Amino acid sequence: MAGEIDFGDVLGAAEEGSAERLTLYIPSQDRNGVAFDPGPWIEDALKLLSSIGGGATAMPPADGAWLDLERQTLVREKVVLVYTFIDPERLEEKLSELRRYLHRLGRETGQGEVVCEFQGVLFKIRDYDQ
Amino acid sequence: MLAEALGAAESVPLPSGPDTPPGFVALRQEVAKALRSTGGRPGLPDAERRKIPVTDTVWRAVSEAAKEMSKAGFHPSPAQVASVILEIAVRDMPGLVRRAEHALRASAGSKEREVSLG
Repeated sequence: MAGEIDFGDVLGAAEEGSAERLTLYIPSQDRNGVAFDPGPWIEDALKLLSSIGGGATAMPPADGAWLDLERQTLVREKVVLVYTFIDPERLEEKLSELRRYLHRLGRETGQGEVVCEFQGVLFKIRDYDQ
Repeated sequence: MLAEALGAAESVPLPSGPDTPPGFVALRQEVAKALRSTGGRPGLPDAERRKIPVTDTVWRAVSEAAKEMSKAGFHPSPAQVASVILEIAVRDMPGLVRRAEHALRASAGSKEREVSLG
């Protein structure tokens, strides 16, 4: 019928595409503006997201800002977005590991807030598991 | 559910939708796939007409989308486009329920009209 195109078929795709993107935001400064090396965190994020979606991508650093409402200060820093298109079953299996990673990121790098984005919703984590 | 699983203090719906070119193309394909002809005008098989309240703004957007999609041999009605959008939305239920709740809380008193979808 007019207008119907199966992109997967046209491209010769091996499997059905995924439309659900999970994105982690990796900071480079703590809430006091002190810089740290985000490299190991980016590596861990790539490994974790690849286990969820079969592969992952880290974008070049972007200019980021976070408003610390408690202190009324704006933290400016470089942020790296790492994303994957998820396999729903694998995401369910890896949810605890994803939580552990995000809470560890927030705790060990002194973040006021850690965020991730999924299905058009931004999740903000402020109270970290011990 | 994801908010609880991650221990999130807050979850914020982000603007998205079929107003970006890739989203509109995907919607057009879904509508084309859904409409099937049994001899007359292509319709949505297994669909029953039901009344659903829709704001004027939403109806205008859906009507525009139907007009944009139309070309030789393919003329979906606004109601058919709305029906397919709803079907796609139901597939993405968890995120949509959250957004719908936010929208309903914010939109009390907005002008609505009832349309039949089918």
